[in-house]
Amino acid sequence: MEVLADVLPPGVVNVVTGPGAEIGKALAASPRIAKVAFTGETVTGRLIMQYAAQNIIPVTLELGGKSPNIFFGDVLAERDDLVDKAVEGLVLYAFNKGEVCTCPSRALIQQGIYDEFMALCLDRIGQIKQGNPLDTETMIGPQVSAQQLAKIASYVEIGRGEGAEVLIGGRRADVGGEFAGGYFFEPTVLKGHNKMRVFQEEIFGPVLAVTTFTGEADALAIANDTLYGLGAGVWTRDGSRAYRMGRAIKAGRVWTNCYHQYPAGAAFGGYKISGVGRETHKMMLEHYSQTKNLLVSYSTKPLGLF
Amino acid sequence: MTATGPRVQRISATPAARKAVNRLCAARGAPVMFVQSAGCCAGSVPMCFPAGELVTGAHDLLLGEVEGCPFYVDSALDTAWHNPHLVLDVADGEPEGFSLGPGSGQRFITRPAGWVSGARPASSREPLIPSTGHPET
Repeated sequence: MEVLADVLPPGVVNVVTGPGAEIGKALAASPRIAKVAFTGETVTGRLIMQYAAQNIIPVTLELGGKSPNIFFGDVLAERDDLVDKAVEGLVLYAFNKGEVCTCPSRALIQQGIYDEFMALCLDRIGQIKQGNPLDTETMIGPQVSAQQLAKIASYVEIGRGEGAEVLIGGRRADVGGEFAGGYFFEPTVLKGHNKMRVFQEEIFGPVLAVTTFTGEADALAIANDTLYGLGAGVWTRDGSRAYRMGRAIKAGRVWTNCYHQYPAGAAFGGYKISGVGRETHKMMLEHYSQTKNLLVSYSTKPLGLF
Repeated sequence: MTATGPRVQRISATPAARKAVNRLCAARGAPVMFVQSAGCCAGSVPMCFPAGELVTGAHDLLLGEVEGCPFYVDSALDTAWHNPHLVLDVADGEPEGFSLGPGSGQRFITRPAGWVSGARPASSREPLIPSTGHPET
């Protein structure tokens, strides 16, 4: 707010804090509000649409995802920087401890390279440094709350119960020292199949669900077999395939040979229950604007119809 | 409130959750409803609203009632989760989103029935009993 103070006129940005049950509805249902944007979970998104309907105002929603990160076999066709980048691309599920709506939380790896590629990834995951979030050497800090930590742990249990194999992590992490008892969770990888609940629900933690695919059609079917459609990653050396996949994946943002890039001006938002509307692009301003047509006659003559 | 969708009986509650629901309804003088949420941030938690606050539709599955209060889940979500039998429980922490909480710094949570793990929160290590659907005092 201090940074914004000299940029925006007084009163433009207001931060209202308090229990959602009291202030959330009051804000969302207020007839003084002309447009609502919400980022959060699906049921609150539905409620906000309901309140917006009562006031006939537009609403945009960003409700999360279960984004697939797809690695085709040709990634390992050369031994170059792209291999290194793709390994990092998979490990980006742990970025911001997985507490990102677009977290690439499902990795789909082509069968032929699974063993070799996963070994490289697990080695990289094993090198993640957890600890003081203000230390620039730290790669991931603690989860945002005790509730979140408990939820992540419960999902790993659900995964185990469904028969998923824990390839790495799977437990609360104790980083010791002054951060002992902090809400740290080990970067975790669960191997299973896409019908498992850990492949279908957003965990919002450093937990990756990994599975394999046979070919492009199989990869696409798995990628789109989800209630969500926010982000996706495609890793391949074949430009035509990258284009076909990008077109066919039902997600608002498909990264090709990269992930978690958010340049200003690139439309961001979801298909399916991931939400409604687009942010960051000029389209976002249009959500907050009206289109007006001024239709002016230069002629003083009547139409002549009546 | 109208139960417009299909109906099954796949919700139960711990004694602590049943007490919390009764306490909340008594304090409000009105019943509440539960809707299982999903997605970003606070997804995976049950949201608790004044009864009728969320308009339910044909795709909202009524899993049953806890102390007379209906519990809904979106049927597509229910399918993705393999039609689980859910257990309503309480845990420490403030409620999420626009959800009501049972008070005393607690919130409602759900988890699959039959969970055999040390990961269960202490408050849930009580015998699970099916909700009768009738308020108890």
